[in-house]
Amino acid sequence: MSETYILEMRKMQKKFPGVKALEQVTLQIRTAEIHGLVGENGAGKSTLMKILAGIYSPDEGEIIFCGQKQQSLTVRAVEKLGIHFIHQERQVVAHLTVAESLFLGIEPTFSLFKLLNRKSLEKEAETVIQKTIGYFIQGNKLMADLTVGEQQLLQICRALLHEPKVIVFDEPTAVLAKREADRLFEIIRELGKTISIIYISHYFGEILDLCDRITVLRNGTKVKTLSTQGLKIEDIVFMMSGRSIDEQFPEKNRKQGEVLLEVRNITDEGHFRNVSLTVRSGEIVGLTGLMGSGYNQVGTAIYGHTPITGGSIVFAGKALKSHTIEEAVALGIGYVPEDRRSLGVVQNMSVQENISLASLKALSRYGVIKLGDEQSKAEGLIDKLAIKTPGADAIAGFLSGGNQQKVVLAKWISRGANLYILNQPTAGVDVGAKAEIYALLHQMTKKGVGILLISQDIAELAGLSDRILVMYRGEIVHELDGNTHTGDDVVVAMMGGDQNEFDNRSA
Amino acid sequence: MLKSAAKQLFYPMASLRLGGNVVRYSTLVALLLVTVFFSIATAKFFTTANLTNILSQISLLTLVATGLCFAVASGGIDLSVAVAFDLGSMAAIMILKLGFGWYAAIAAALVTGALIGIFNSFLVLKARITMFLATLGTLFIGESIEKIVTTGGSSIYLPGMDEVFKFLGRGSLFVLQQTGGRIDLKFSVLLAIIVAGIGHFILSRTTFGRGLYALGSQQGVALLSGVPVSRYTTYALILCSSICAFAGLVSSSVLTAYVPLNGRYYLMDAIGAVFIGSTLHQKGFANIPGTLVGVLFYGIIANGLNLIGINFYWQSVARGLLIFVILALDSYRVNHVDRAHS
Amino acid sequence: MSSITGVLRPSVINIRWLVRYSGYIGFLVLAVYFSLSSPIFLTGENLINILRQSSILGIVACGFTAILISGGNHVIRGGIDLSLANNLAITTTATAFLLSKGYSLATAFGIAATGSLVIGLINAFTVVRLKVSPLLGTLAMMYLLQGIELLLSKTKVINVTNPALVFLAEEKLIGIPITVWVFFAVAFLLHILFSKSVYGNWANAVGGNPQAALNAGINVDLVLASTYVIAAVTAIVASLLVTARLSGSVPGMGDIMLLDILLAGYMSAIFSHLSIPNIQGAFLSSLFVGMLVNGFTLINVSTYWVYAIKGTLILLAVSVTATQQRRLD
Repeated sequence: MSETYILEMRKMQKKFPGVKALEQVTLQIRTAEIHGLVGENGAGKSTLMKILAGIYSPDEGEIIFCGQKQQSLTVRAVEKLGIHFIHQERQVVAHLTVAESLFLGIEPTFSLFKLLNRKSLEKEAETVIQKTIGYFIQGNKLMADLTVGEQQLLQICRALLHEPKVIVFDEPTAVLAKREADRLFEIIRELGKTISIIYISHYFGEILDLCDRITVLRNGTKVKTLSTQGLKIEDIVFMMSGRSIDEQFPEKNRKQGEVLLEVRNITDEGHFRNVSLTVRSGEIVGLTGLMGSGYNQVGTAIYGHTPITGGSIVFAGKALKSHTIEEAVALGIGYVPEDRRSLGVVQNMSVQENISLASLKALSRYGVIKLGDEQSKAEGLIDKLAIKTPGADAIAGFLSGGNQQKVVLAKWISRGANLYILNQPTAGVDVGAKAEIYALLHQMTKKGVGILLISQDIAELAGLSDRILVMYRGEIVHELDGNTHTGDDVVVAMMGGDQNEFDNRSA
Repeated sequence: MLKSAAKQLFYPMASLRLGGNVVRYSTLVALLLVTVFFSIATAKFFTTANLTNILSQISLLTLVATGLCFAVASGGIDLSVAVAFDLGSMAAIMILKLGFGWYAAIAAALVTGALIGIFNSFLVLKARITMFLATLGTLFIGESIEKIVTTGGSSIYLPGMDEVFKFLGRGSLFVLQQTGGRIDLKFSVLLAIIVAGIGHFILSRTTFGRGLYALGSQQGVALLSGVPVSRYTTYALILCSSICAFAGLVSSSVLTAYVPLNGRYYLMDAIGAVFIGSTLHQKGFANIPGTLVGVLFYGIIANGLNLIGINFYWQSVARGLLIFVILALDSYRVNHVDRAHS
Repeated sequence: MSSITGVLRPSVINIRWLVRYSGYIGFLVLAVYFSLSSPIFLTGENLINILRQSSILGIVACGFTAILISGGNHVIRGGIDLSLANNLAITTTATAFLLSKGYSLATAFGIAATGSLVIGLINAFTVVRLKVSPLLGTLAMMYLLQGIELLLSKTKVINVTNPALVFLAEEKLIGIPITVWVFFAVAFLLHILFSKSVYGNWANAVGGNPQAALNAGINVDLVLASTYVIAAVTAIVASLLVTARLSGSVPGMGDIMLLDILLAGYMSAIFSHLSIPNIQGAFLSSLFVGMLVNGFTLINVSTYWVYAIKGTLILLAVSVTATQQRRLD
């Protein structure tokens, strides 16, 4: 190899129970390059980066940094090597000031009990920030009072204080305003002249703008590493979303009945504005957008979990009055949350107990649970949904992600829900279970169930939905026909593409 | 048909099925060891008379621990059981002093308990204070009420008493005079068994109990599944305080008086018993059968130490050490052993 | 709805201002009330009395607050030490007990102090290593200490006479008792430690967001453990002064002090504009409690009523700061 790579992750292999997260993935980063990392959720990007960060250890493969093989990386070791991460979830201590936060852990004094001269610390902070990223942030401002963009800049500053060799940016612009994003790009371009940068993002426009080369991951394997010269967004999308043979989407010609859910002009300040949508019986409506567009808050808002100001929600002709979860459930709406381990399934309880959790009243008489009925119903659903479990009374927490998801679905089927709000239903679910879940959803719609599918999985959206609603910065901006538009159209729409483009394309 | 009926009966017990959990085994082994130890240490221990005695002695603790179970099942802990106990006792005695009958006394105690439970619920749900701190506050306020009412902590006695009321705490179900001792099975044991039995039924077989465990385990899941989280939490707290107030009433029957700040004594042991109980549950939930084992544990130790002449002070050290070990073990189990799902 | 990072809208300013300064307002209101209700309140002698009465509480409250600071006020992982009051009690009792058995003050106090330190270390171990929740772990320790203390004191008052102790209790420096000086010194030292030193920055970070602190390379475990030790040290210092003041020990001290310590600790957050527990706040709330007790005694309100008021104040303080904190999160 004539290339000198500063970082090499060779043939990374990582398996989780039931899921193969990474399969022989090799990532090679050159010195002073900006390298983009692209792939859908679940493609393996975050697993790969977590291995690099020392949070996971790979089952197989080796990591070579600056020509030296690294054994068993820990978080501390990774930092010492000079690899730093700017994470999505900013870990911030809200009540510290900028100066305190910037120098946290590396305070410029000799001894532990040395006194910090507040004023000089703040001055120094301002100087450092100005020098490293060319902007001014007041040293005595509280972290809680900074904008998200400023907090991120501070994070970058901190990383730079350590004189890093590699900085990994994980979806940095998802929550930034345009102006802040532009500022960030300037900084990254400047940094890229001397250090290596790994840039992870769903905004392909940015990727093509910023990066020298990109690596595309799909379903845990590497598709390709190539230069961005002459590359177009469609090319990236094509590489990313190629259909795998196993993923079968059932055909869509579903008969659609009356309107089940009618949402008019609901708003949740800070998340979304004036959202209106309808879901018919037998219909699957996809709802998507980039992080920060508000798309995943709409689901919880309809369900009554998060508040709304203004607007109305009507279900099966009945207006939702008190806007609580209990009311939604009583009317026949079910919600399948994104985080199934903490919000979907009670880990400590049995499969049976989880399945019956929303339908206890029906399974009881005068408040006493009919255990026999509960068990037989659960067993029936376990059978029907092919939930892999040693028994109805097995502890749910031991089931794999995909099977836990089925348990959540079973819960609402047991309840007899008519409208399902699914939030990223197959995130982290292996391919086999995914196909089963898709088939199940199709079955359900055949029986008249309506589904609001909130997802970032483009293939899933395109493959399942009758209609796809795309949100951008808090509003629904596009409605695409699921039968005529492709996943690529969805992606473009997510980034604010033009409606005309689609109309022209489908013609 | 028979199989399913049997399963229905024993399913809640099945939760006590012993898995391969070291901590769970060690609890039962400890119980066994302690019994054996005392049987050997003194001949007076393992007699029918004494064993019956132990049962009578633990009936009050059983009641308090049963109440506490509901609060712990909801995911928190209720420290105000001590004042629910005391104020229940106070209410009962005061009603009796005013000349009303035993039924009024019971009503008064239960209402007092319910009010405390409602107050706690308000603190937890509306003022958004964690249950621990909220009930701690109630504990402090309640104790000061006691001191104010009794101007300093003197007991309130009841001279003549309603016969039925007297029977509640002091009556015997069964007495037999033997050469070895006097077998005296108190009525309070029956009361405790009934309450514990009902409590167990509620927790393990009703929709309320199931929902309560769900919200105590992972509130988010319960909430999103349509379980009425706020309502159930309130019910749990009310049940807890009411049962403890009832326990207070029985104690005032035993003592024919209301003794202020007596409840504190039961608080510590009840916490210990409930946590011992949760180690015996397959899923680690607070449960009545396990709590009963815990209560028995405390009863045996108190009784045994007494019989071999250990003074009161060493006993309190022993109980302090005991709860320390119990809570440490329980937390250890929760954080280290049951890591399967994280 | 105000935005997450607290952008102020005109209509909301007044309420927030009120909450921010509610501590100081409350303090002033109470002071004014007592001054008006009793002519003796504002006299020099009484003010010194208040200081003296607040001192013991103040010292341990600062230690308790240290635990609150780095443990975080968080609902689940919240740092707390319920055993601190009993730690103080048992150290006092142990010292008195050993003195009554004929040991010198140095020996008696030395042994007791070591014991107290061991308690702090066990607490630290239980919380940090065994990962027992601080609530339950220190609750258990509280009960354990209660039992041992009973054993030592046998529910009796222990009386000792010792010139050094008398000196500590009686002597004044420029009119202010030594006890008060010690209080000021401890509060000052801990204040400097927690708000002006590197360690303090770390402790605040750990309390605010342990994950962020961990990411920043701070040894979270060590910081947490150290706060329990600091608390024990304050208990040691305070116990010597208590032994001096009581000329021995009194049973059941722990119970009474627990309420006050919790109150002073949680109320400290009200004195900070960030609604975070802090040492200066603990200093002020200790004075507040001292003033409360003193004032009510002067106007003949029964101590039992005061007890109830303290309990209510804890609930108020916790409720207010919890709401504030949620806004900060």
